[in-house]
Amino acid sequence: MSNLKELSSKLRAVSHGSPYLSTTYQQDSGLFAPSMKRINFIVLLVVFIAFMPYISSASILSVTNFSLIAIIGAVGLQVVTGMASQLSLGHAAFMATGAFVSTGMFFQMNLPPWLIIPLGAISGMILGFISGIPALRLRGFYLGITTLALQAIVGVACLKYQVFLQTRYGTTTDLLLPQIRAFGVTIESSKSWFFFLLVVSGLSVFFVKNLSRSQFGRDTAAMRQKEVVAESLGINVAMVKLRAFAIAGFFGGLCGTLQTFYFRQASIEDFSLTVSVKYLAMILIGGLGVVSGAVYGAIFVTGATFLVGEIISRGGLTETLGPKSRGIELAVFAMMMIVFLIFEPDGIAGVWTRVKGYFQLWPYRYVSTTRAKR
Amino acid sequence: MDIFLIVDILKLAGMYILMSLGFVVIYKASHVLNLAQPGLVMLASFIGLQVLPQNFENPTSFSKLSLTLALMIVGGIILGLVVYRYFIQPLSGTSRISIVLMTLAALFLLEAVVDLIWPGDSGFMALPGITIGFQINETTYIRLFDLLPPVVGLVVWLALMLFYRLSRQGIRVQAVAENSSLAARRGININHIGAVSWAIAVVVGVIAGMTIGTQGVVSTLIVGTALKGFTVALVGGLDSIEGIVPAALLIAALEVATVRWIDQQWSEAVPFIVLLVVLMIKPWGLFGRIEELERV
Repeated sequence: MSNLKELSSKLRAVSHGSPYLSTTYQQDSGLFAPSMKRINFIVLLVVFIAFMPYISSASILSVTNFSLIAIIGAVGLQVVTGMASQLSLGHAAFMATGAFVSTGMFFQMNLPPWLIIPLGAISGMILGFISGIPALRLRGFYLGITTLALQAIVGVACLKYQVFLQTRYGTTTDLLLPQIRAFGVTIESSKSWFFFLLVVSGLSVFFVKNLSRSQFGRDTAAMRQKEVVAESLGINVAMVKLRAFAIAGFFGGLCGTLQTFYFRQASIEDFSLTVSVKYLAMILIGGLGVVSGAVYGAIFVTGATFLVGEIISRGGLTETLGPKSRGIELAVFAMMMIVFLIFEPDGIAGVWTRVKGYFQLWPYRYVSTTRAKR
Repeated sequence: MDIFLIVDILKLAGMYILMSLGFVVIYKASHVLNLAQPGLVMLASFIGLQVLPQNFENPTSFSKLSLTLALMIVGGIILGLVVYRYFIQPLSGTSRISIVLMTLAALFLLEAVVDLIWPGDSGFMALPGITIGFQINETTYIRLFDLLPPVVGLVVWLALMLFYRLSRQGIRVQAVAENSSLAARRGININHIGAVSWAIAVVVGVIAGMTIGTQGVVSTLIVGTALKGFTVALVGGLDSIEGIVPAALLIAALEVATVRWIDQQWSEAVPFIVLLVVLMIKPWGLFGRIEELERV
């Protein structure tokens, strides 16, 4: 009888999602807090996602695919800029490396796509590692500017390589990459791309989320507070930065490779400094240092860009505003960055925590958002 | 060694001096990177393209020219104060990385503004004396305006150096940079210092924009050129006005040499390669002060 009572109280606690529920260390260090609400939410999300490609229109599905690609890049940037608090202005350089290495591997070495994708990510990781090497001697913003240098140098190198490929193999249609074919499945329609990207970006988010509670994650958290103190606690700060850059490079390379296979072509214009800043805007709008923030931010920025284009084309403004669409797009995401910086520094993740906390704690008022940052 | 090469180097170095001063002025006051500077330079040169008189037949246009330039300087001061008050000051007390991100957002806002007002525009500034030149020998021809960037750059650089060395306000800026909360406790108005620094940075940006405008086509590519000024600031040392001139000469010489003997496209990356090499050897730049990060 007492056993039943215990069980029922436990069930009630689970369904209410109490953070004080953890009774073992295993639960305490679990990736997600045990809560029935969260499980319900995840089940709903999975059901929604599984049916998503069958109910949405083609344009929505392509935006979703873009968002999924952006999520991979954004979680990578979140590791270096959000978690390790190192400004990185060269995320597009990692993407460009992944993109052009994979193009080169296909045309010059004839490797199959399923092998190229991991190799593209690893090439990004190697570049990330190289770009982190100045961390052994540099601190503060000086390191951030070396990533700007990386962006410039990689940009010129990739432009040279693109010209080389074009002179050797021909322009536009001759440089198309093949469809990904693995285990007897060909990924060609946007539906199959959706499921493929969903798996890859889901694994990426899961990996980074897991990383944030590992030794490395805790080291970065200490470093974010105060570098000198972290060092005096025995953390090898330069090593942590190096690893953060390598991880960011890996996801940047993966993102660039997948984007190239999605477009079936790599072009240096897709990896400009503007793209680097766009990814910074994503993690800033989503919430700096919060893994889920990278997801929200990637979806928000990609969706907003799409929405601006839709409004212009649906509203019949194409003739007057069409040539200015690039300027409008830039203005929209610069304004979003400014608004979030001034009014909501915690980003969408912070808003989410506060709204959720408001309903959970009602009628009490104060909601702490610091928990979300850990 | 021909004279043309030297003039080219001096011209480029002069432009780099003007473009890097804006970064150093802000870093000196607040230890924050001012990534918005290239946007300010570009906006200034586009406004110059728009408002400066295009022909100089009648004698009143010279007074008009000087009046316009004076008005642009005043406008620069006002813009600097507005930027500080509405974009930077609300973030005081937050982490430096969010202020840097704010300047980055401002850069893209400025790019968007230029793109919306002057979509795809480009043009030359037709100033008096633009056709004057000297024939040194049969292969070398030097325009008077080739000498403008080094002269203007040196004048502005000297003026700023004297400002920081001698004036009361300049010494206060250094105190705030050293330790802002201590400086505030000694009665220095930190917001005032920040506003003054931003006003100086924008005015320097206006001067840089006008000078670049006399040298070639005004277009959105100016942002890329001005970003290279950043590398000059870092090579010289982010908080060192003195270091700008040697750094600018070094980078300009290497870049001109690369264009001449190696490759046009790689020359775009030269400043960044120099930057990486210098930072590996001297992490605080050639003349920068070692920051107090070693202490606990």
